[in-house]
Amino acid sequence: MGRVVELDNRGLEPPEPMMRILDALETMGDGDTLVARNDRQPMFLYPELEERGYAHRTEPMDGGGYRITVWKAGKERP
Amino acid sequence: MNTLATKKAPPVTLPIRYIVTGIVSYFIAQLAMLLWPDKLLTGPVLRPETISLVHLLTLGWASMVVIGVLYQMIPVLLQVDLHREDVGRFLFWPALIGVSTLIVGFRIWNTTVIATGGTITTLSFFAYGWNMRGTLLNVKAWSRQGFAMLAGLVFFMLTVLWGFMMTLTLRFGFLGSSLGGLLGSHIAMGFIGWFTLMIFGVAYRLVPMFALSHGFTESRQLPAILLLGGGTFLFIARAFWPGIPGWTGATLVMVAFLLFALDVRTIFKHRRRRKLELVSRFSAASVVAGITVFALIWGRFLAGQGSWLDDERVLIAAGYMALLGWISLMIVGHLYKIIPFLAWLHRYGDKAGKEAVPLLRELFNRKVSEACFWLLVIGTGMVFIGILAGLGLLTRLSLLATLAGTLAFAYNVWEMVQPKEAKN
Ligand code: HEM
Repeated sequence: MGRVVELDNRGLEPPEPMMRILDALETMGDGDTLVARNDRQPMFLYPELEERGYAHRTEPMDGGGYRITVWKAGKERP
Repeated sequence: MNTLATKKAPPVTLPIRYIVTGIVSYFIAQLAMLLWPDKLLTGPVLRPETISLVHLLTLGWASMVVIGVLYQMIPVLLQVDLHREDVGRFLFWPALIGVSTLIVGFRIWNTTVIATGGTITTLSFFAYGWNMRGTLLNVKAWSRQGFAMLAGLVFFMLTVLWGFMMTLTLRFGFLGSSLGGLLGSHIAMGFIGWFTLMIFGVAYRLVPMFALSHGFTESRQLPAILLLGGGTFLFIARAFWPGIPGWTGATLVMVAFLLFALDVRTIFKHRRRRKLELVSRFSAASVVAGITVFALIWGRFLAGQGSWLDDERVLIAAGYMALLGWISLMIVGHLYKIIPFLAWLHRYGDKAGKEAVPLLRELFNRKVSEACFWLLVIGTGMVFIGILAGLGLLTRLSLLATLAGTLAFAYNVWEMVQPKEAKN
């Protein structure tokens, strides 16, 4: 199992949350997982993740906002 | 729950019907210019054919697309839910009927048809504005960009109101001879207040988002927005106080545009995406066209009446560049990103992240999009030169190129909305 990188993007305006997620992914290894918390779903991020070969999952959080989990496609599902 | 379908983005069909109407109008306008270049591109400016063409481009193409795109973008950019989506769906039909009637009315120059079309158009756009008001009242955090979009919408309403008063004047003559004063501010409000300010607001958000850019300075954005709004306001004020010199508004607008152009350049410089995508290249071409137009307007007001810049040919070339360069290239470029994105979300949003889905750029043909870019950009520039220099053959050939570019665009839009298989 790789590392889990956490990112809190709440309170940031687009495109900042998306940029931070893409930046964080560049520093991660293949087995690592990114867990980001956003106020909203980063709609324009999803095609970028596909392009870079990442699998992802978005879940609403209690009390508002979304948790976005991103990992390298083909790796074990976190 | 693992689905990208969200309440904060409306279904695809609402924006798409406006966008398709827009593209059809854009194509008809290009075709009309090619078929009747003498009527449309040599003046006089205020003739039925030209007024009809101008509104085909400003209402049928640009306003329709911007309205459709805003239905999609306002929830994303301003973080609100649409107020009454069903109303938006319904309002498309009166808008379509009103705008078509108005355009036909201008073409056949029948003031009853003009007034009828103008009234339906005005009512449906006012209802659109009222519906947007419902959405905007729910915005919690107002950003600079949101403020620019709001101001753009207000100027849109004023443009429509002015247009409405002019149509009634044409039919019933109730404003007497004051149409001239109304016309100038109608054009300033529509072109600068509605389109240009709206593009500033949307582009300040989308250009960095699409170029994957951050860390650039944002300190010029508010001055640019305020100067542009202030310049438009001065142009409107001139309708009531003719003593205000035209160069005042024109100078504010020129400075605003240069700040904006500088901002776009800075955003590109700070981008992460190594290769500039189509949307960014179209935006760059559009901004160059914009600088040309605003410099011509500025020069004209500085030089005053009787200078070569006051020549009708220069006026037409500037108008062509404004509508088909600055506004159209910006719109076409953004549609190359927005339509695939909408189609992608609609078809593959549920599967994305879980199984292989086609990539955005696989949704259209890249060779065709390259041809589209060069035909439109070079073609538009050459038509501009052709009009300015009075070269009929060059103008015709270049109009043919832009028409081919528009066809290539339409073909790719068709491709974008077709289902595709994932390649990987
Ligand atoms: C919203 C975007 C609009 C823009 C950018 C716009 C722009 C223009 C421009 C550039 C002209 C001058 C045409 C020329 O020189 O050939 C013009 C004239 C005119 N527009 Fe608009 N327009 C808009 C909407 C409307 C609407 C909604 C109406 C009607 C309800 C309207 C009614 C008129 C009329 C009656 C004229 C003048 C005709 C004349 O002088 O005889 N416009 N507009």
